[in-house]
Amino acid sequence: VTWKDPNNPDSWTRGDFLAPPHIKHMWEVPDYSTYPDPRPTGPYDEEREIWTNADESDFGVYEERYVWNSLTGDWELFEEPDLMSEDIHIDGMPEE
Amino acid sequence: MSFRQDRTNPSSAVSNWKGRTDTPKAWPSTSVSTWLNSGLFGGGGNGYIFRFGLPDVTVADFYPYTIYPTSTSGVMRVSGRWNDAAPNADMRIVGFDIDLSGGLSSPPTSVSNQTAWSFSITGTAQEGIYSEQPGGLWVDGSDNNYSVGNVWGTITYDYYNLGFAKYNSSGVQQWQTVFRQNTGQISPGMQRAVCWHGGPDDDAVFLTTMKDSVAGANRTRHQMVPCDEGTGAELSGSYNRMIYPNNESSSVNNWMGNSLRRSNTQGDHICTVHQAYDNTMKNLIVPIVWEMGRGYSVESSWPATAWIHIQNTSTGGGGDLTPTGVHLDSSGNVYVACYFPATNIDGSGADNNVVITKWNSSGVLQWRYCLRQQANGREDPTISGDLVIDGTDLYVSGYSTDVSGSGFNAPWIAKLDVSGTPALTWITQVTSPSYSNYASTISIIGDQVVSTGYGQTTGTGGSGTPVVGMGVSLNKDGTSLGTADVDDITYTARDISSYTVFANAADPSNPDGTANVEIGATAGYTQQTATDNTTSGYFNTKLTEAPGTTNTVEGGGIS
Repeated sequence: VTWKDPNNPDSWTRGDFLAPPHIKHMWEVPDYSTYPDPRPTGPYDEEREIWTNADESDFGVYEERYVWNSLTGDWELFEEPDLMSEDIHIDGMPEE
Repeated sequence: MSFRQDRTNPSSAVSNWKGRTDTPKAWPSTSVSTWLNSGLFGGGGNGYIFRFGLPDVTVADFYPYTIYPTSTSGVMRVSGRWNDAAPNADMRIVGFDIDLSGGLSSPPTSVSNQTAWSFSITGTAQEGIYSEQPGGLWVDGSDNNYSVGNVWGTITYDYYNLGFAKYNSSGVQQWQTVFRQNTGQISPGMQRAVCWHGGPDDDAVFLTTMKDSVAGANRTRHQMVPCDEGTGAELSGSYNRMIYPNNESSSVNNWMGNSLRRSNTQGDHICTVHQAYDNTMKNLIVPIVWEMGRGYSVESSWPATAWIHIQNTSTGGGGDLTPTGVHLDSSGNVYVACYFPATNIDGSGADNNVVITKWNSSGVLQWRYCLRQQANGREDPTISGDLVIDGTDLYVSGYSTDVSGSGFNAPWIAKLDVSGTPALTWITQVTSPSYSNYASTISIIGDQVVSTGYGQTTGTGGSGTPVVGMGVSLNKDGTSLGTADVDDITYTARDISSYTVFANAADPSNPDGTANVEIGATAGYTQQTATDNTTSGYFNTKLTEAPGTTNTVEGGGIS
């Protein structure tokens, strides 16, 4: 077993779920400096259902839905996941 | 963020660092406190260090995250992520009881009531489960055990799932359920959770993070899910509560963070503390007092129209606040421990500082104080753990760089007098020459202040040694100083008050001119509770047993 310095986040591969809890907590902090642009800088106009910019101009529709992936350190354009298939047998799950 | 390995010579640091002259200290002399020990507290002794888990299994890991009192006085239940054959995905949640009832003079010698819990969705391969979240264990008045942890799926089930289990007082599993989101939108949530049991309806409850889509932008929200105490099945979704910033549509950056913590209980009340982002892209700390029981609502005296939070407005360091501990006292006051980066006094970076805050029972912020480790013009990172009130004494745990220069991290316990203006009474760091240790809990057990965490050494030839639980039991008067030998490792309990700045974080012109901390409360949020049934329960293969490898505990007195 190669010892990995628990003091040094760089000694761990991001996403390694064997990493110590305090290292994982560091990964979970989103890095907003890398948030993908363009993005709206103003509030959402609920009446018109569009986003605006800080200068009050219209940004338009924004549906990127980026999510911080603490396992990779990337902002990911999230794709709708498949739900658990009802055909999958799960031991212990009661029969309907 | 990085942890600096080097360290100034403590002797020169002490001589050059004069410490704060305006911070009252009440460090008792050794002679007086030794008499107090034996004369008043009974049992004598000067405290001890203890290690627990699998210290003799080369590649084992045990990361205890919670220590909780059982109904037997002095017997504490610990629980955490455990693995007796790392590296693999075969992680389990393991818990056992440690008897600390012997007082300051009697380190624990054995563990009992060992349980192990894991999960398999396929029935053929055991996926890993890990629970390393303070607050993820609840032991009720009958010694039933409620535990929550993350389930790491396989490639097929590459989601975060949340496992929730109950054991009875004999360590026999009563039920185990697994939850995931069913919104069909954003579902990589449920990475962190806390749990609780009790109240007038005798429900078992967990609170977790989840992802959702709002106004076209992805959001993290926090959701409370009450479950049936007898089966673990989700109650009616109408009891669920969702936590999110009211103005989350005002910015794509407004959402909840990953961190959340749960307090102790006071009657049917608990407090949770949440992390939230606002459009400054900084983490805020948000406490909420809950009245538990069906109806699950924010306590009526807790302001529902103001998002009560603190925000780091310090220059430099980015400013993310991360909550690590919360305590609700018998008067309804709320204490929170958190940490954040701030510019070092030598400008070398932005190491972490600790902030301790108090809100009164009406949700009005009373004070916030910074605890910073620095000496000789240098600063070391220090990170908070949990906190607990005892009368007007507030005890806080954490870990920081070893002031003796080993380069390792070491746990500390601080006692604050909060009867008036908060003052640091004492702070003790426990170091070893070859071991890094991290603290996350704190408890009062009779005349002991006990903090636990985990630690690991480099081992011979850098081969590594097991990660084990590490605990510190100190006298409440701060006199537990000296050395202790545990399994051929010498630990030193050291007064680090001269390395510590304890300053009013609300003062923008911080008196010592170096703490560089200003925390302000800003408006613009509304706290909401909402019904949103976005989780669903799934039964899974039960895989529950005593751990295959027996855990042990050993300790050594401080003298």
